[in-house]
Amino acid sequence: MRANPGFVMAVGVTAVAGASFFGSLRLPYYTEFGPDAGFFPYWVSLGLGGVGLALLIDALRNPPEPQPTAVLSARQGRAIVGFALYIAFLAVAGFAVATAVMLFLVVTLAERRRVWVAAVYSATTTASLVWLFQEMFRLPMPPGMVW
Amino acid sequence: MDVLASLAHGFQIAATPGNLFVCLLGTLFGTIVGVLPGLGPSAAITILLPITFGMEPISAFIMLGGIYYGSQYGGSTTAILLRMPGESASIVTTIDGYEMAKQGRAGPALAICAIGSFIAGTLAVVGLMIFGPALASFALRFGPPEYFAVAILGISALVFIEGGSRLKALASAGVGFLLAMVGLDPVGGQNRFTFGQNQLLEGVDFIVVAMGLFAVAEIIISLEEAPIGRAMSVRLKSLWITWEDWCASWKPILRGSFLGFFLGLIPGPGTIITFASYALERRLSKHPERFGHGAIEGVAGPESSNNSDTIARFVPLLSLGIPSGNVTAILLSAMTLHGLTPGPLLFVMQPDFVWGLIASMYLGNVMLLILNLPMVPLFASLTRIPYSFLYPAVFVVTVIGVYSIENSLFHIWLLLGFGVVGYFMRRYRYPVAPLVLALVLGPLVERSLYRTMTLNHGDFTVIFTRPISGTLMAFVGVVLLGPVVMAVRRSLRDRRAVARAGS
Repeated sequence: MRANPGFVMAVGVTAVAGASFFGSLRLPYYTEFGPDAGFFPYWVSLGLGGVGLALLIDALRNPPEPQPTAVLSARQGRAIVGFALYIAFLAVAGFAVATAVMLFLVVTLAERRRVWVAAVYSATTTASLVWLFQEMFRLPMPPGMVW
Repeated sequence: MDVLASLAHGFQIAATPGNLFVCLLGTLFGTIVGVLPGLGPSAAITILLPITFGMEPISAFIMLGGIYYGSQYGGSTTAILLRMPGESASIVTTIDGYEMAKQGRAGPALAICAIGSFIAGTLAVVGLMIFGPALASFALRFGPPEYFAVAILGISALVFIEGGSRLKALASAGVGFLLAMVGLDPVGGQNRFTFGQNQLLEGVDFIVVAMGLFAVAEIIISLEEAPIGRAMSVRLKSLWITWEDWCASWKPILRGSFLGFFLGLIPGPGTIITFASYALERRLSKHPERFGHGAIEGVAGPESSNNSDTIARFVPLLSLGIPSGNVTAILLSAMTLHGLTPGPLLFVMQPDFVWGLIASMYLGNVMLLILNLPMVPLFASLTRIPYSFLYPAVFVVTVIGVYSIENSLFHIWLLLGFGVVGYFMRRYRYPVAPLVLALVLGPLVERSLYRTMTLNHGDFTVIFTRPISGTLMAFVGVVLLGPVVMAVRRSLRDRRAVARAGS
């Protein structure tokens, strides 16, 4: 049976509402002076839960047309994985090294460009970004154990 | 006269060499952003925001404002030359603009866009000068119930005017409100929804969410689309409009300017306004059959309304501190980051900032007119940059932007997370604007509600009984119930028609 993406998204919304609702029950609701921390989240999550249920019913009654493309294309998946690895590598290698490596790998492996083109692109882009943002605008860059 | 004196003072501030330079930078960068696919004004402003931290607030906002209305110009360039709108508000321009380009009239199409946008932008700034201070002085009478009502009206209007599924828009707004509650609560300083993370004690940073939902999500979405084709070539000497073109265009430009300005005061996407302008021009035209086949009115009206709408959105932002869309929500956040207090007192406490910004819009419109016409061939050539090289660099720039605000890798992970969330929202047609607006206005809504109830011994019905807030809540009722009533009437009419056909 094909997954109904509308149903999945509605489940997600309802789950967020449910989690927030139970989270708000742990907060104080009202004081003698007026509403407290739990008041607003309580009512918002209740309302969102109602909307989530309505979305669930709508998704079940009106299943969507079959999607011609996958939820995530291979190119999109590669980009997201590449970005995630880049962020993880930032903490180790620092901005300059991690950025140069990421740009090189994304352009060669994910985008299938020539190696020398990727090398020139990653070196010049990293150098330009470091000069522009770190030297010119004096913005902090993630430091790493390497550089 | 007071307004004119304030404007003259504003020009003294805006016309300094430094501010003229940042205005030029902003409009130039905004045009480039509008031309390039996968990078909209929302993403560009959030990415460049950290750079402005070292600037004076007025210089920062002159640049950011320039990016905003500059991007509207750039979006029309690709709409005409490539049939690919650089911004969603330029979708309508592709209909007749591209047809004109196919007929060898890309030059006049681009020229009328630039001229129409200049006239509309100038008229809209006059409107901003008139309505902004008036609304600000009216808003000085606002108390917590009125702020609550205005914020709810803004979000409701966006949810119900956005188009598409209202349930999904409501869900989006609800999630935005919940995100706004992460961190310390405004009453007692209790931890809410931080999951033990110290980095979330101050809440989820709006800039991180905005960069994720706009910049990173846009990157992921753009990777799915087919590569763009080659832009039609345009030569400088072909950028000339005939007397007939001008006669056909001046009325649509004026109508578009007024329509865009007044509709731009209401929260909602700019796309609707441009479609409304197109529909109006087709209705009023003596030759409606020409629309869709290269009618210059179909370009002049919508583009003028687009630019006018952009300026009009500054009216509620500056006078009430209420954003009416994605970009103004980001600008509101930027104002807070620069130590400005948005709201009606801004005109009183920071007149240099307000009038300097308004004056810079006149100058920015002139710069755009001068820039855009001769540099169109150059801007069009930017579309030839392969996206494979563009998107990794854009992602790195967003990482720099997020890190400079929070100095935390945790927030960079949040950036990627919101990017993926934003992708799925766009793919499954959950509008992003209500989430963004609710995230920005959530604290205001909560604080106003709490204050109202505290001051009135727990009674919140005062929101409906006070004259101003009651009127605003009545508008909320119209916005919420209007579509329901119309749907019921339509259903009854259809049933009667079926019954008549049956008998």
